[in-house]
Amino acid sequence: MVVAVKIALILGSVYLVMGMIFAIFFLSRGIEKMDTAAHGSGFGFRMIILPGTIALWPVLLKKWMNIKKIRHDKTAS
Amino acid sequence: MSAGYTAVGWNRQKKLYDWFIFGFCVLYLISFILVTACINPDYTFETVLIRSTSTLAVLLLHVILSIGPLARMNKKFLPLLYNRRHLGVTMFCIAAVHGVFSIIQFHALGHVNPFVSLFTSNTNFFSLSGFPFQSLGFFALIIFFLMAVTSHDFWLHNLSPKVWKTLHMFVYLAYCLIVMHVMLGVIQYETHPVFVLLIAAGSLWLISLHLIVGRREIKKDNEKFGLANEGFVAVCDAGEFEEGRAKIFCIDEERIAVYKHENKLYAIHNVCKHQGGPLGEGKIIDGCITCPWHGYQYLPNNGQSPPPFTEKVSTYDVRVEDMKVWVNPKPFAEGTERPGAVIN
Repeated sequence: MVVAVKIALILGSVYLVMGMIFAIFFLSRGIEKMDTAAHGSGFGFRMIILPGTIALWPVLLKKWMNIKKIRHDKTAS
Repeated sequence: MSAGYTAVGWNRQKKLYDWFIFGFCVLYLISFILVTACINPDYTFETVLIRSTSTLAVLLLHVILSIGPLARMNKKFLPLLYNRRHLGVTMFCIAAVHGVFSIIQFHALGHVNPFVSLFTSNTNFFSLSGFPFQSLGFFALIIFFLMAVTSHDFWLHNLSPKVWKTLHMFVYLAYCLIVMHVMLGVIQYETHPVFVLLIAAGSLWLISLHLIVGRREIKKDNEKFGLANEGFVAVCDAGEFEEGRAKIFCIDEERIAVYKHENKLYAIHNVCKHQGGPLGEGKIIDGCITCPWHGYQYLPNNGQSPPPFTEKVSTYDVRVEDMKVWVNPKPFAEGTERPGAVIN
């Protein structure tokens, strides 16, 4: 039980650290590319979505990658 | 309603709402602490803080879960719904204070990692009187956290309304966890039944409210419309409409809102693109159908939000013949212009 909880804690911590690293790039560059309504949004808005970005980073990463891919395909064609 | 994101779209109503929430929470906490100091002067400050924040969070959770059904029963409760997410975030913050102080008080004073201690110090999972109830509260807090951090419209847009709504429906699972957390905790730490009675009364209140509203909705949805002609269904008399208001009809399992505006009838899909609010329960403001939940607006003749907004809902054909209103339940593409039916 103790080992299982310790493993879960380590995995959870790694997940959150990855989320923090992702959030730096996403909130500074990715967000405006992914969501046009975020153009020109302020610091306050970014701080409000920061905890969610850290918690749900795989969802945003997937969406960001999809948009990059769509743009790349459009440019190629 | 906003074309670009802001941290919080403050207006007078939101400020008043938030000040009221803030004032109530402060007053509650102070009162609880003072009353406890008089009744149980030997309690430590940490214990009083843990108890006051827990009871306040549970109270707010009951209010939050009551607002939805109450607003469906009586439009006077709609202002509470308008800003419910602020109440939710407040509830999470208070619950988080309770959780953090509980972990510090009960699990952070030894050599074991507090989170490891939380899940391993008590493993009596098969004992009712010794169940590790704190872990239930922890999981409920995780759900509240996810709901609080995704409460901004950015998340509604980027997770999709369906996923967002599903995530936020987990509040009911969190509520069940909280009920168990309180009940099992009270069994272990309290001798007085007052907390059990209060939480039981709260649960009964919420279950009754949801059942009453659910029954009403089912009854409305099961209403049968007898006459049909060329795809049109006779729904009611034209005289039953009030200017600037709508009637909702459920035809072929689809809810359609028929609005009267400047002596014409227009039909649009009843579900708001924002959070699925019932458009037919709103009213026309500045020539736009306005959702009663958060004020999203649509033009009655084409179901489009006025520029620069981009939301669109389906439109339907309406006819008025001999003061009888006929609706065709076949939807047009979202944002399609329809002329509306003149009431003679």
